[in-house]
Amino acid sequence: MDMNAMSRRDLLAAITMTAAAVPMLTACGGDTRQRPQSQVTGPVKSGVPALDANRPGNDTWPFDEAETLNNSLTWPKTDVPDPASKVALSVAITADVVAEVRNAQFDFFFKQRHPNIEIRRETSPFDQYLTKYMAQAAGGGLPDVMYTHYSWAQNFIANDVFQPLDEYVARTPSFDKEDLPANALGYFERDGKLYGLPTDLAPKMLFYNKSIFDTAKMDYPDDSWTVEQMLAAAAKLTSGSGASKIYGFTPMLLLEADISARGLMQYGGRFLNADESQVLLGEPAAQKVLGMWLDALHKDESMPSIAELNQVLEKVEPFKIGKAAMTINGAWIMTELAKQDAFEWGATHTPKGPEGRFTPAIGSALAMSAGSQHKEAAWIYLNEYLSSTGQQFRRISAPARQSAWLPNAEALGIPKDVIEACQTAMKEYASSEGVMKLPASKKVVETAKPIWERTLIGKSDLRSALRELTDKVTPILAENRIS
Amino acid sequence: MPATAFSRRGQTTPARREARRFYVFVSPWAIGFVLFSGVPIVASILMSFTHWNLLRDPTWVGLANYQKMIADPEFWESIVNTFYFGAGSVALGVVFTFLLALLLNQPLRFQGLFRTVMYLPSVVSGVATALLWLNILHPDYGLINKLLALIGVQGPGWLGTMEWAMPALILMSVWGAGNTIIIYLAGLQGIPKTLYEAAEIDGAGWWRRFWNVTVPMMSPVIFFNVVTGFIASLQAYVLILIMTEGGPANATMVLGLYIYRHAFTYFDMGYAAALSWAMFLIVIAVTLIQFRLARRWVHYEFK
Repeated sequence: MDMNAMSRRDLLAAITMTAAAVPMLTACGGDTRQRPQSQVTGPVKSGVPALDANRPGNDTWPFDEAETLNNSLTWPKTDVPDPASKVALSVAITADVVAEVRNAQFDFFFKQRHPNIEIRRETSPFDQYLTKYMAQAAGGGLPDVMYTHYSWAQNFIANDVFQPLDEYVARTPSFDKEDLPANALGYFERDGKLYGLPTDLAPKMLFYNKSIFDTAKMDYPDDSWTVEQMLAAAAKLTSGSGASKIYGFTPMLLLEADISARGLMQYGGRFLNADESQVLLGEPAAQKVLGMWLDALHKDESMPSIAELNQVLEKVEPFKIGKAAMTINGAWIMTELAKQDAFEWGATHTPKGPEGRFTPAIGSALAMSAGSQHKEAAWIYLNEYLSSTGQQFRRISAPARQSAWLPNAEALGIPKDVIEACQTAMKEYASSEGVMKLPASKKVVETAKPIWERTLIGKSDLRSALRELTDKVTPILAENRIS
Repeated sequence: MPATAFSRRGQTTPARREARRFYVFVSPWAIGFVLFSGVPIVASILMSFTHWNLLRDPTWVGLANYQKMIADPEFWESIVNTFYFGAGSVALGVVFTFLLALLLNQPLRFQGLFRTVMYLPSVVSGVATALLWLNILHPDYGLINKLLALIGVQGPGWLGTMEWAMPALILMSVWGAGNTIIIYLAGLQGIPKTLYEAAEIDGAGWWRRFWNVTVPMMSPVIFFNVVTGFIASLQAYVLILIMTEGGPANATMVLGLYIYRHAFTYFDMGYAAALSWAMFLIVIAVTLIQFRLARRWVHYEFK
């Protein structure tokens, strides 16, 4: 017997069998939709037009304008010294193509001020960012500076991924913490320490389509409006059907991380208690307000149903394309609204309820990795990028630095009254209170979603849905206990 | 010196040379398999016995993930949805593509053009397909509901309704079945003409020729497409993720998507690995059942 030939045959048989098994196994875990993004080390990333390394700019952000602005601004100082020799600082952010050009310009001028700090910016799409850096964290290497969404921060902090910044803040006398909204810093704080500097922190406001109000000959909403008034107005403003339907309000109240501040606290209700260890949706106050919103959906039909909302072409929010009279949305949509001329719009305070006026203030931050080898350089970058000066240079519409709101709004063409309303909201009632931020948040929201959707579709009554939801969400909250 | 040299183990020099070449040629694949598939497969088994959130070291939890899976109603719900989608898409896909292949096998003018057109959807990217079908299935603007309206039928809300979301995805799954059509075409062209001639001499009409010649002769090909199609549909989740994200109300939450959610939304890697192995066992079980059932209906010309 030819043992050699037999072994080859055996090998081939084994290979054939494993080849058949591999697609099954690999498909169990692979994500072909999200292809890994290449790690680009230069200042220009895929999706961004190639920029001149010596004069980065484009039609939206001309280099000359950036240079003039950069020279006109006073950049903040810190007692943290520049590195004595050259260091490469990796910065992981998420940005759209437009913002990316501005970021390239920021890095260009930053390099001029700090010749020993070379910025290696990695820009990822928002929907791929977390997966990418969680995987990188598992591999043991994270960028020196990294973006964090408000809802991810506490998980990173609890797992010792971020470096507390207090020591560096103390070494920066010009660091104006008062310029940051204290009532919304809770996402990035733990045990009295600050782990992230917010980039944008904005309240959700009531936006309205002036054209639809004018057609209906109705007064625009103002700060005297209650939730009931808003829902009644939404019913009156709803018109048409099918493709030509105009909704009075969009979207329906969904059980998302900020639902308490967005719709329940006005009536004394909440999704979870303050330390996110108990479900409170089943209590009468929450039930009452959810019932009110369900009536608006089912009886008044003043909001898009799940079927309609899921299938708006390309999933564009109906308000943004002029198909809804009102929406409650983050102040950051002002930039987009300011650029369109399909309809006139305005924004005012969110409506109040018997227990007062509430709105979530949410946003993102940049943090320093605990494992960074260049912490001092990282702080110098963070301090400048997230200073009022840095936020004015980047012209973001909802800057965390309160002093950057007005100059940015003026540059972006956002009405001054809207900005003033946003700033008042940030000072008086917008906060992180009632917004889920602990590690189980995503699982809580995703668990609640199908149950709430059955109620929205009319397949389940409110009372039994809330009971089921309480039963299913309560065990998940154990994951919020951070040791 | 003899033409053929013998080694100490009795192998000829050409045989040893052939063996060396064999191993050289097979080694890139084998090494790639071990590194990029074999190791992850073994790692996923170990991972399924751990709790791992990627930010800390994995902690050994024994069978806890499997116990959690058995008690998880959403897991069972996703299994039901997976079989619904799998059975629906395979049944529709096999029948529809077989009929298309029969048409494309007819000696018509522009046969090549028709075949190309039918194959074209297969080269469209997944995201583009999803966007296209989101528009085709749109309740107000969509092509399907517009066509239904022409015959006086009010179309459903498709992806937005619990009842119609899965049928809509099954309908969409037939799109891009060009590869299956090619396999059928190859099979159809391999059926000896003499069989049809013999059947005709025996007085068989077109239906008899189809049912008693074409179908039996094609049964191994149909079986191949059923097996591979079912495996693919059990694992499908990308288009479903883009189009419905498992909704509404979990009506389209298939197992692949459920695994994805635990792995890349919750970063619960241990549980996701356990779910993946459950999927693997399901795929194996279904495939074995199909092979067993195949004895009753698959006809092999040569055994």
